[in-house]
Amino acid sequence: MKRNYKGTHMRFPNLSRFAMATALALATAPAATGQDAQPLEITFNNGVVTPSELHVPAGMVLKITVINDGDRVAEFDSKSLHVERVLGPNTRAVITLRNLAPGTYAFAEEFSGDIDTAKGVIIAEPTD
Amino acid sequence: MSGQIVFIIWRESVEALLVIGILAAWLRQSGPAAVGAARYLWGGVLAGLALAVALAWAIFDLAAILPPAAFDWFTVAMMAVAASLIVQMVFWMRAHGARLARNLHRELSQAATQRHWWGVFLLAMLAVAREGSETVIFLYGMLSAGASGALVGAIALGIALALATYGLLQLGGRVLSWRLFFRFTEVTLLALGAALAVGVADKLIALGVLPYTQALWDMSAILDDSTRLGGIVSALTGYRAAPDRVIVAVWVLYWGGIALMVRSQNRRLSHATAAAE
Repeated sequence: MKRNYKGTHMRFPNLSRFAMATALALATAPAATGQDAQPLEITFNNGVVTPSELHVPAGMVLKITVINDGDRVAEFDSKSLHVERVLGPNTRAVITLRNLAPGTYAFAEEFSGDIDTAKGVIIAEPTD
Repeated sequence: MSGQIVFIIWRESVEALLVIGILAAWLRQSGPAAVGAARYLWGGVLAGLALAVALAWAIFDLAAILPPAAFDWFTVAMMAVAASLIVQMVFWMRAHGARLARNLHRELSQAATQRHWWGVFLLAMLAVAREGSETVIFLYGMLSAGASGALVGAIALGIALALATYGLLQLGGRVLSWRLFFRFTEVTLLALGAALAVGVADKLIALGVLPYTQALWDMSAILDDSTRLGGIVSALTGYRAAPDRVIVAVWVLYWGGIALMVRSQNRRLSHATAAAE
């Protein structure tokens, strides 16, 4: 457990993971990225979630990139979205949400527990 | 912060410890049939620890190569197998306990017993591997951010608390009447099985196999599943504060299935007793 993980291993996986995520997002979810110019991203930084409120279109396939900028392990956890994903320090992951019903879905960075800054909501808005 | 670490280590290991602790207490109670079976249990624990480290490594290093869905499918398989093994263990113990209580020393065939011990091995392995991999990742992430005396102390306290939980179970197996202890552990394991079944549904929804549906009701005013207590309850029982249609369907199917199995087993056991008398 002593080897220098961050320095040697993390960089390349990050790049390729990011490339893959981007490719996936472009290939499969043009509606989600095209309609809303902002990328769908959630950032964790040692127990602080940004943004704490993310608006997304309901009824579509969404790719949300979850980034852990902190130096600790983080876990994206949402009972209502049925997603649980562990993120190492300085890594990112893409979660796919398919055809959300309009409504508010709570999530949390679970390893930071009950801190208020570690909680957020994804709001799925009806599209016309 | 330290309290947080202690809590997470305990929480991440409590599921596996419940399974192992209950199996160990049951094996001790199973009498001559279980002589040598402890080897399968502890062998399973060791295999589970090895698998947990391998999984943690895979989650870190292979995540870039393997699509995340591959991990989700692997987790689905682990949870589904663990859930069915848990249910099978409970019904095996019920039948075995009834045989002992009614003095029916008609033992199971050698081969059936052997298969059962391999089930014990596999269940211990899956229980340790699934939660253990998260603990390994968590510990690794904590230590890679810099080890301090307070951090190491918190980790040690978390592990000690987890072991104390195991010790409490073993004590319960000795102090409480076996009937009461068995009832309690039986329900605990079946509830864990329900949590695993709900977990499988969660993954299948996230994978797009099952649909997202609207929540049918919201009882987060009573117990919010995003709080610490609510999180533990949901991890150990499959509780959801705002369950959607799919989750409610899983609850009904799982507990309905268990009720039917209990009824048919009770009928079979009373037939067997009548035949033996």
